[in-house]
Amino acid sequence: MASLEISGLVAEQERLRARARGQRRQSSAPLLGLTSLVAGAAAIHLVAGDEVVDAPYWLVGGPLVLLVVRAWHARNERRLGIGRGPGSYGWAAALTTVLMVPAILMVPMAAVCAGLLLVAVQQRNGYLARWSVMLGALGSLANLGFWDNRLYELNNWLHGYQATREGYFEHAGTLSLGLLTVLSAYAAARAAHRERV
Amino acid sequence: MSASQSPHPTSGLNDAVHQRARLGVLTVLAETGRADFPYLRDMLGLTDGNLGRHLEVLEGLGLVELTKGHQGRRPRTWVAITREGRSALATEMAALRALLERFDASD
Repeated sequence: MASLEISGLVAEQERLRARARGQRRQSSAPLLGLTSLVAGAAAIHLVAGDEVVDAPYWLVGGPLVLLVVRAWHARNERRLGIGRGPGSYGWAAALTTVLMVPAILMVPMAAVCAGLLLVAVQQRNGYLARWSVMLGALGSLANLGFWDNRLYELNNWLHGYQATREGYFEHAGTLSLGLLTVLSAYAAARAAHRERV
Repeated sequence: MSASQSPHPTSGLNDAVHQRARLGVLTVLAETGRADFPYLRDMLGLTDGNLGRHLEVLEGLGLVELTKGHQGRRPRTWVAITREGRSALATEMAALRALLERFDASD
């Protein structure tokens, strides 16, 4: 068997694999869903400030985003004829709902990312698993105000204490969620690029 | 064991899986998990009859599973890769890559 024939065969399999992967949008769709959820949380924070008004948003929005991605995959499966069914998203939405109850006031983002991690494990999707863990950890720190405090310190260092309101940088929460939105959007865009290649 | 004593990579090739179209079917299914008949036909550029025969062979070897269903009034055949199918594909691709390495080393 000639070397060229084998390398052609291997290259053809890689092309087929890449094309099928691109049509599934296995990582970009859920990460885009997560991005829209975090962007919504940032918008609520911008309007309502530090008042705890985003609890119902996370409680409903977290599972809802997973169900929307589930519906998108189901539609994709009917239209294109690929995919093993959107079943894992249903379980992920259920897990997120269960975890959201104890997490709602402290780390709602962790509950959503745990749902995404479940999907990633079931689909053996390393990229989605890595980003779920990372965004879940960073998002939980944001929920706990860790980034708010770091941004407050940075703002103090840059502009002095006078720039803060009563010793607190009022836009820190919005900014930290905004940065998280950008990071999540980057992960989704990178996944979309990988799926297109 | 030295390279000369180790089994030649061609011994890892499976004639049933090695066939270009069947290897393509397994590759696509390994990525998608499941695909319907028209998707595989169009993706691999095969005719209905040709794909049907290849699927019969793969199903006979337990490498894929065929499920017939309906979407609305339209009959739809789904093809899913089995655990054995994934394993056979991995073995085949490893053998092909080992062969390529041998060619490269001998250049």
